[in-house]
Amino acid sequence: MLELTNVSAGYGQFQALFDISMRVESGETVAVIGANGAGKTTLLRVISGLLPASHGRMTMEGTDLAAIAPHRIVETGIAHVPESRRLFPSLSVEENLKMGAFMKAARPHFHERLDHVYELFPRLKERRDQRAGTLSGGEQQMCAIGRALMSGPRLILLDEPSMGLAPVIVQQVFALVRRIRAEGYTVLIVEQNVSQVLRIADRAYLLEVGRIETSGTAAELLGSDEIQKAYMGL
Amino acid sequence: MSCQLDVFFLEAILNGLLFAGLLALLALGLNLIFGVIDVVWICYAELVMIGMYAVFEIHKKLGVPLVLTFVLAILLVAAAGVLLHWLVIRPVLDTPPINQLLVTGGVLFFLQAAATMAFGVEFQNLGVRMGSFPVGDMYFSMSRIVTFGVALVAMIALWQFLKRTYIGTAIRAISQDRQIMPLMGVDSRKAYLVTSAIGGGLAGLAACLMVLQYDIYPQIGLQFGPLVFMICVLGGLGNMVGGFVAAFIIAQFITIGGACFATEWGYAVAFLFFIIVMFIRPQGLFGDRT
Amino acid sequence: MTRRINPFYVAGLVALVALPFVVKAVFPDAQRYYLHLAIQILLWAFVYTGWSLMGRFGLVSLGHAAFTGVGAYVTVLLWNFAGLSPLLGIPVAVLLAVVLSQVVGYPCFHQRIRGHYFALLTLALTEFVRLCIVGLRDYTGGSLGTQPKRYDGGLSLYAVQFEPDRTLAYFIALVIWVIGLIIWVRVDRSMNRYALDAASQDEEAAASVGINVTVAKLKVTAISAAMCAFGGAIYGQYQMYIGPDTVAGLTLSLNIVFAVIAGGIWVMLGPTLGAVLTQVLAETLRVGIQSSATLKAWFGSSALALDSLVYGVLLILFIIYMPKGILGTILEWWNRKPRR
Repeated sequence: MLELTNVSAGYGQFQALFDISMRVESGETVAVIGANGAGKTTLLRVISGLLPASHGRMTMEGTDLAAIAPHRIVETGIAHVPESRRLFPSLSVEENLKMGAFMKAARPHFHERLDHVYELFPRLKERRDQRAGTLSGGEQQMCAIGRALMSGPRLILLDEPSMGLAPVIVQQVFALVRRIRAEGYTVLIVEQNVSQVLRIADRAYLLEVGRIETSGTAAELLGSDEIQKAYMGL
Repeated sequence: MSCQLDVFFLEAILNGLLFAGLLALLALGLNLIFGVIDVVWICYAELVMIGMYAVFEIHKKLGVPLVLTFVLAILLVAAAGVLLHWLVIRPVLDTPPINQLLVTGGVLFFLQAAATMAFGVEFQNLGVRMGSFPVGDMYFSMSRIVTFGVALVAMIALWQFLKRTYIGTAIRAISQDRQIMPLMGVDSRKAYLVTSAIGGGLAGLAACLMVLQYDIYPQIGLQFGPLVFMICVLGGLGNMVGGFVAAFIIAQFITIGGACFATEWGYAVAFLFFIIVMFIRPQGLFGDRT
Repeated sequence: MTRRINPFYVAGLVALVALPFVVKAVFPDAQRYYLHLAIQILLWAFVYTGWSLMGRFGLVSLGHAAFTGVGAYVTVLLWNFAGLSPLLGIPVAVLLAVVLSQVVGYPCFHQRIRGHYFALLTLALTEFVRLCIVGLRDYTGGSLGTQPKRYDGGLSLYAVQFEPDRTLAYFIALVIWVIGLIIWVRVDRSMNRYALDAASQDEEAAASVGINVTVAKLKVTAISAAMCAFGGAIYGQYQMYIGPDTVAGLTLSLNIVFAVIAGGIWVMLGPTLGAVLTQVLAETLRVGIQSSATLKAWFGSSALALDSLVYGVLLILFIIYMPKGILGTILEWWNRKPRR
C-alpha cells in the first residue's frame, strides 16, 4: 500500500533521514521504533507532506506522493495523528472531529463516520461539546485518532501515541490501537515504547540516527537480544 | 464637570451603546484577520475610508440606488482585502511580525494619498437624512439605531458562519494550530484569502454604515483607526468576544466623556484607560498569555 | 576609547562645514532655500537616529511622534504662556518626554510587551498625546497649531530663535546632528548594546544570564525619547510653527519608521540617509508639481499628497525586498564580497 524508496529528508542544513526504504501492506500494523531523535517523527511528516523529501520516492497505492500538494495528501487515504495529539484546544470535541472531515470527499459521510467514531469511543460522545483543550491525555488521544478516522482513511499514521501519558493511560491507548487494527485499518505507528508496540504490530523497522538498521516481524525483533538490551533495558 | 446624572446622561449612555455597535463591527474585522492570519492591518481604517468614497462616488456620481451601492461597496472592499493579502502580506508572511505591520503602514500612506489625489481634501457627505427617534426627552439618531441593528445582525451572521460551516470552523482552527492544517486537507493559503475577503467585507459594511452618519474625507482613517486598534488590543488581539466587550467599554468612555467635557477628552480618557489596562494585563481583557 | 577615526568621516564633516559657503558661491540667490533643505535633513536625521536606537533592537515604536510632540509643544507653551526661555524650556520638555518614556516603558518592558503589541501600545500613546494637544486648544491652537512668540526680530539666544539667519541655523543643526551620531556610536559600543542585542534575540535567555533586560531597555528608551523631544523642540524653534500633525501624530510616527527603514536601521548613517530620502523626495515632488501645469490641473493642491503616495509604495517595496534599507543592503553586499 505505502512504499518508500530511498527517501531522504532534513531541516535546512541538518539531514534527518538517509535513504529510507520501507513498505506497509494493506491490513498490516507496522511499527517504527528507535530512540529520541532517530527521525521517527520526521519520517511520518515526510509521508504526510508536512515536510518535503529531498530525495527518493513515496507512493501510496501507486500514486506518487511527492507530486501532491501537502493539503491534498489526505485525499490519498493517509491520515496522520500528530505527535502530542495537536487538537484544536478551543474547539469542541465534535468540532475537532468535524475538522477531520473537512476534505470534500469526506463531508457527505460526516454523520455516519461521526456515529462510527462515537461507537468506537463512547467517552468522546459523552464529551462531544466539551472544549478539546480540557480533555485528559487519554481522551485527547482518543479524539485525535477519531479525528483522523473522520476522513475515511486507509492508512493511519500514529506518531508516538503514548508520549507524555501516564502508564495506566498508555495501556488504554494501546488498547485503542488494537481496536483500530481490529476494525481493519492499516496502521503505521511510531513509538519509543518498544515493548508495548511490538506486541501489537505485525512487522517493525528499527530507525537509528536517520537510517533503518533492522527490520523484521515483531516477534523477531522482540526476541532479538540487541533490541532487548538497547531499548528495553534488559 | 459640566454634567449631572440626568436624562442627558442616560442619553449619553444609550448613545454609547449604539456607538458600540459600530465599533464592535470594526473591531470584529480586525480581530478576525489577526486571529487567523496573525497579521495586523494597520490600514484597516483606510479600507473603510475607501469603502465610504466608493459609496459616495457610485451613488452620487453614477446614480446607482443606495442599497445596490452598498452591496457593490462591500464587494469592492472585500476584493481590496484579498488584493491586500495577496500582493502585500503574502510576501512577508514568514518574516518578523513587525514587517507585516509596517508593510500595511505603507498601504495606509498609499490609500490616504490616493484618496486625496482622486477625491480632494474637501469633506463630502452622502446627504442621507434619516431623522431622529424620540424616547421621552431623549433623541436618538435613526442612522445610529440602524447602524447598531445592522452591525448586530452582521456579527451574528458571521458567528453562525464560523460555527456551522466547514470553512468557518477551519478558519477558527487555523488560529489555534496553523501547522497541522494540511493534515485536515485545509489549504491555508485559500483560507487566508477567504478570511481577507471577509475582513474586507466587514470593513465595507462598516463603511456603508458610517457614510450614513459621518462626513467623508481622506484622513478620516486617522480619526478612528487608532481607536479600533486600541479596542482590539484591549479585548485581546484576535479575540472576537473580547473585542465586543472592549467596544462597549470604550464607547461608554467616549460618549460620556464627550457629553461631560469636550469630545477630545472622551477619547483621551479612553486611550488613557487603555494604556493603564495594558500595564496591568498586557494580553488584553480576554487575551491569552503566549 | 582610542579608536582611529575613519578618514572618510573627517572628510565628510569638513565638506559639511564648508557646505553653506559653497552653496553661497554656487547658488547665491537660492542659498536660503538650499540651506533650509539641509537644515530639515539634519534635524530630522537627528530625530530618526534617535528612533533607530530603539528600532534596531526590535523595539519598533509607532509612538515616537509623542516625544517630538511633547518636546515641541512644551517648549513653545512654556515660552508663550509662562515666559520661560527655551534655554530652560527645552530641557524641561526633554525631561518630561523622558519621564513619559519611563512611565510608559517600565510596565511595558516589565510585562514583556513586544512585537506588534508594543507597536500598537505606542500607537495609542502617540494618539493620546495628539488628542491632548488638540484638546488643550485654548493653549495649543488645536488642529491649527501655534507659533512661539517672536522675540527680538526672531534672532535671539534668550528665546532660542534663529530662523532668519540660515547659516547660523545650519550650523546649529549640524552640531546637533553630529551629537546624535556620537550618541549612536556610544550606544553602539556600550555594554547595553550587547545586552539589548541578546534580548532582541531571546529575552528569556538574556534574562537568565543575568542581564536586566528591563533596565537596559529603559535606558535606551530614555535616550531615544530625549533625542526625539530635543529634535522636535529645535525643529519647532526653527520653523516658528508647530502643529499636531507636523510634530506629532501617527503619520509622523510612520514617517520616522519609513525613513529609518529605507535608510537602513542597523547602520549609523542609515537614518540620515532616510532623512535625505524623505526630505529630498518631498521637495522634488513639491517643486515638480508646482512647475508642472498638467499635474496641477489634474490634482490641484491635493497633488501634494503625491509624496505620501510614493512613501507608501516605497515602504511596501522596501519591507518586501530590502528590509535592511538602502545602506544596510549596500553594506551587506559590500561585506559579502571576497576579500582581496
